[in-house]
Amino acid sequence: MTTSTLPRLSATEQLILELLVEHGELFGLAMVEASNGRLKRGTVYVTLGRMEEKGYLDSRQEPLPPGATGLPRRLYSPTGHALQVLAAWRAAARVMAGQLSTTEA
Amino acid sequence: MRPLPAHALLRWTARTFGDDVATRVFEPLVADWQRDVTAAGSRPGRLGRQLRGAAALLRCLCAVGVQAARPEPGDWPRLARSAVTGAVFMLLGNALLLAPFVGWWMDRGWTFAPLALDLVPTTMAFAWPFALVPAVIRLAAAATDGRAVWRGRLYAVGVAIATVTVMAGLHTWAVPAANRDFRQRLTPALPSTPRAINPPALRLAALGSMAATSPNETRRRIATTFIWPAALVCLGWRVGRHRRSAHAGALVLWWMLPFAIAVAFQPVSTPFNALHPMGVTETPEFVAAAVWIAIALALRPGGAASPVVAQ
Repeated sequence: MTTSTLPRLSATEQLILELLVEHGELFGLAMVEASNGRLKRGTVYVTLGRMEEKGYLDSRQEPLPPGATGLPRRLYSPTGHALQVLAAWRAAARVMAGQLSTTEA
Repeated sequence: MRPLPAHALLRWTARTFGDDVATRVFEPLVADWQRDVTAAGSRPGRLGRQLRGAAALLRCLCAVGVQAARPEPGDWPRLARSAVTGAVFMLLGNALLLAPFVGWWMDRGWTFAPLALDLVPTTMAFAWPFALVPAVIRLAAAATDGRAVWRGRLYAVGVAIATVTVMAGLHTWAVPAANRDFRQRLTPALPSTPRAINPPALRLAALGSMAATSPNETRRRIATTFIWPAALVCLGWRVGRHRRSAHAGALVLWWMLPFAIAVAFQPVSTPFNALHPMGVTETPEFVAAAVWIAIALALRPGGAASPVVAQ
């Protein structure tokens, strides 16, 4: 397997997955609010679209409340594949941190 | 936002970027924006939410636009790819800056359209930083992929100096000369001489001498010649130190600081200002600055269009 085919997770994608794991299904603006300024409203939707493309997220449209107008919001949830990648990413980070502390000692 | 403009906006994004991007990116943004505005209790609250939503939309458009404008990696040499991308951004910048003049030409008949060539140096001066977007992307990639910090730092300084040299040259000589020519050619076609127009007999050397006697113009020239480059070089040295601010720092470096200094030193009325065909020199700067802020935010590491994040 070449490095280009390995599943990769950027810091923003990791943050989004962690928020979804913590809060459950969320829509874009709720993620921005829950991230305490780490996600930006102008770019989060591009990242969410890319994560859907990569198979990290599933989305569905929220049913409109009675009498509501406008477009239905899109709710996002992590896929099983994304959760596996996130777990692997965290494990790799722990191993690297352990190795670094051993080297420094 | 009412449903009708939202649907029109989504149709436009679908035509421009494709159905998939419109559905995945812009539709959720607009839906959240609408719901956010509806949930506001007061009128000022709604206005604030409208503005925040509009800013997010602008930033999102820039992020998606930059991604769409980036050429596909192929077999082209890197330099050629950068040159083509730079030219595309330069043309977009020029088109943006010339757009306000279209209505003006239409009012006076299209025979004046060739006179636009005289305005190109002006717009080139302001559009030049647009051509540097590929360089910014390269700089950020170098700064964030672990390569030597010195390299990114020197790159930033080099590009900043080149930018300032080109902009200062255009602003100081090409723009006044072209604008003077534009006004002189326009004068016979107008019913009365425009206010504040320079006498046609006044040549560039005489204008230079008039400018030299104007304290405001002297301050502006000092700023253009010394303060911009010095400030840009100092900031350029700092860009490489902070990986996470490389994109934003570089773009601020190239545009916002000169813009701020220019505004601070902009005289109300000088011989050079009076040469501007519209009599208003700030409009293109504000438009370009707004675009640059949006691009800078989109391009910063961790931003949507960042090559580091896009995998």
